[in-house]
Amino acid sequence: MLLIRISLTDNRQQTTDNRQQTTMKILLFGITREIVGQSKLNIPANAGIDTVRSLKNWLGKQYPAMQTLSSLAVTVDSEYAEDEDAIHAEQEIALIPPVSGG
Amino acid sequence: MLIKLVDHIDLNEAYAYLNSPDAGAVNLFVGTVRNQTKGKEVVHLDFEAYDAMALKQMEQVANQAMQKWPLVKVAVIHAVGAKEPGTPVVVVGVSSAHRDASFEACRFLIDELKKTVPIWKKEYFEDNSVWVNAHP
Repeated sequence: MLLIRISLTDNRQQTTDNRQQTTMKILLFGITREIVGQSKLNIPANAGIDTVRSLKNWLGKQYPAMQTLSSLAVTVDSEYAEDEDAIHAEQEIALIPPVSGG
Repeated sequence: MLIKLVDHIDLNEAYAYLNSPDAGAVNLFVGTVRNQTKGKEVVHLDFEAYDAMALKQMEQVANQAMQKWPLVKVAVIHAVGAKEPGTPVVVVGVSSAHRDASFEACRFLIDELKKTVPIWKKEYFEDNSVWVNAHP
């Protein structure tokens, strides 16, 4: 099996925060990156986000433009996650707006 | 399997990888940049990928194809960055003993890639730009 990555993005999470109240970092791509205006979003621990659903609700309130998208998926450690799945700051979490490759 | 994200698609590389004495068929699908969308001239496209996950999903789709059809080799290659009309942006290809499997597998690879692989396309027109599929 040959896996090669040629192009690198600067979106990868490089460090882990060891404080008890950790900040959740969300990777943003495509239109979600433009809506937020940056490629990574830091969500304070006191936002009370513990599931995919609570993340989506929080995003919808903070960034109403997210609600106009055809769909918005969330991935956890590179796997598509369901609304009821638990999430925490140590995972790699990303927003996946409607894909359009090919 | 040859699974890659690249700045420029090299069709010869894909063909050289797929061709094999065990195969009687090599099938390549090449997706290219169209110069218009709904009658509006496209100046260029910009492709962005969630690299690590895109590679993982491309590998998953290739594995599914290997399980469904008797394939010798599979290649899934997608370009990222700015692309002009006429430029290849994606290649999916297989080699197999007989042609039927190769046609069916190629169709499956591109259809699944478009559904699941986290890659985004932005179309730039003369007067604006649009993330494809983003809005209903």
